[in-house]
Amino acid sequence: MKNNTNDLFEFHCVGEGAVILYARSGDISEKNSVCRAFTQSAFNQQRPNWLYDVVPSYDSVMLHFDGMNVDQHDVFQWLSSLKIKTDISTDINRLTLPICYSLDSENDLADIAKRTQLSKDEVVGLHSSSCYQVYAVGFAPGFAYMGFVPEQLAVPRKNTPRVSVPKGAVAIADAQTAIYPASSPGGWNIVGYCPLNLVTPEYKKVSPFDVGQQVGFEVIDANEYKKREGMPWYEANS
Amino acid sequence: MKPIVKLDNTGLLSLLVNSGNRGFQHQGITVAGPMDEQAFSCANLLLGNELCAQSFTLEGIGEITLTALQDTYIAVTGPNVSVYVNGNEVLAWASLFVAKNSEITIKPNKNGQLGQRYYFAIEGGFGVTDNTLMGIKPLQKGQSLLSTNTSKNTSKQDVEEVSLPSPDYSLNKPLRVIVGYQGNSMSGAVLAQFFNQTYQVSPNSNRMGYRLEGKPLSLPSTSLYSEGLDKGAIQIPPNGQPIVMLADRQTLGGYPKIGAVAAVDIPRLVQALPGEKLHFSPIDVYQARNLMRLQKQKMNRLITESQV
Repeated sequence: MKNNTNDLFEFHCVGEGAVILYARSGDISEKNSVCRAFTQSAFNQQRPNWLYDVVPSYDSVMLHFDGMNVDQHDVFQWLSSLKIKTDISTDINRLTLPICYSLDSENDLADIAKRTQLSKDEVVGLHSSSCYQVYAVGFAPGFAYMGFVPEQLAVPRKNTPRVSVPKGAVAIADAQTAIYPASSPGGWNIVGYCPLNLVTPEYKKVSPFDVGQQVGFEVIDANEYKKREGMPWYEANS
Repeated sequence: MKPIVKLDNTGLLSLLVNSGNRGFQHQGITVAGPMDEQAFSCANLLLGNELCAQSFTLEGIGEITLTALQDTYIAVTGPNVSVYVNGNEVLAWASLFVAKNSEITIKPNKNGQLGQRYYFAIEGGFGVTDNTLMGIKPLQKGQSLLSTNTSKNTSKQDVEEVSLPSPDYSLNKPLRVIVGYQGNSMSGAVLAQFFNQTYQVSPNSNRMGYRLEGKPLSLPSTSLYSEGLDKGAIQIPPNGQPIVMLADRQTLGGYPKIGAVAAVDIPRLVQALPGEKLHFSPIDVYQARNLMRLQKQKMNRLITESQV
């Protein structure tokens, strides 16, 4: 099995203090797993103090480093010594999040049903029964891009984005789904709401999501939603 | 932590910034930090402050007034800035002692323009009590700012009063760009157009990014997976008008990027005001890094010379 960075990634220098690695082969899910494996290996091993950030995304990993004191050759040298464990099990951190599809808050279920020619129940059934992978965490703190929703559900973003998507909204844009960890402007189509607090700067881990992680949804009713509203994710999943 | 200054007037916007949040970008948390790293670093260098996540400096726009609640040392930096202590003009880009109850005013000088960013540092740095990972709230009029100095009382001999010349903020010379990301595969015609035309800073520019206006670049439409963004990265959205990603940028971006503005030239960009004109020239990453290191060495040398 290939386990050194040279075999797995192409390197590009993109700034005085930034190098980006692109996964070389496989489909997007495989590339994402390689990015996840690299990130875990980098985080698990003794990290040099010049390495500020390791930011995985769909098919790439960005390294932010102290360009004042090291250059890309130092980074490449460190990378070539890094052994990447590619056989990590994806089940270890499987996350299950409660979602309420029947909350009396604004949503696009009727619109999605119309656009996809499915019933509302079918939309909910398809969305909630799929297993997703976290492909990237970004846009906002704790915002996880998860994929992929069943093909029939892949509806494009709304023509006019909402000025404010409520906190906890679970939404679809094309083949991706995500939960808005805080209220923000956005053009994704809302299907439901997650009651948990997904951004926890006071806790050792700021959000539950890691790139490459598997995520499933548990359907809850409005009463259960009220009960769990505002609960930090780490208490709900412990 | 004890109150060290009271903010009597916040100007147009006053924030407390640290040197940046490192190690949280994979959770979607932005680096933040100062817009003009050079002015920020110099203000702290003048006071012998360490640059770290726990030490904060005021980043402000407009006319800012403060009252010293204790004896302390201050330093103010920024382009074309004037500093007054109890109505008397004092040196900017210098460390100086201010006595308790002094009134400090920071404002544009006769060449200055409203909208440029000033840095106000105190000996030891400001401290904060709330978690700032989720973003910094604008400071409020009347708010007291805290000192990280817990024990000792400042006396007039603690810090050597030193000064630095203000760097050149002129936009006459091009901003240098390290071509990278998707820039390596863009057509020669697109790159030539980008490097030959004059851009104007859009009013729709802020700590997240600076939008530029010029003749739109026409890129073939390609779908791209979102990927990491470094400070200075130049995104080209479908309208063909570049956005330079800055301190409060999102951690990932999905538009093609032509490259990144060299760190050494970012201060000139972020101190430019809407409507100002600028242009770009290419530079390779080695040269860009050398210029950045030379700039830092020069500042250190000037401080040492100023102490003699």
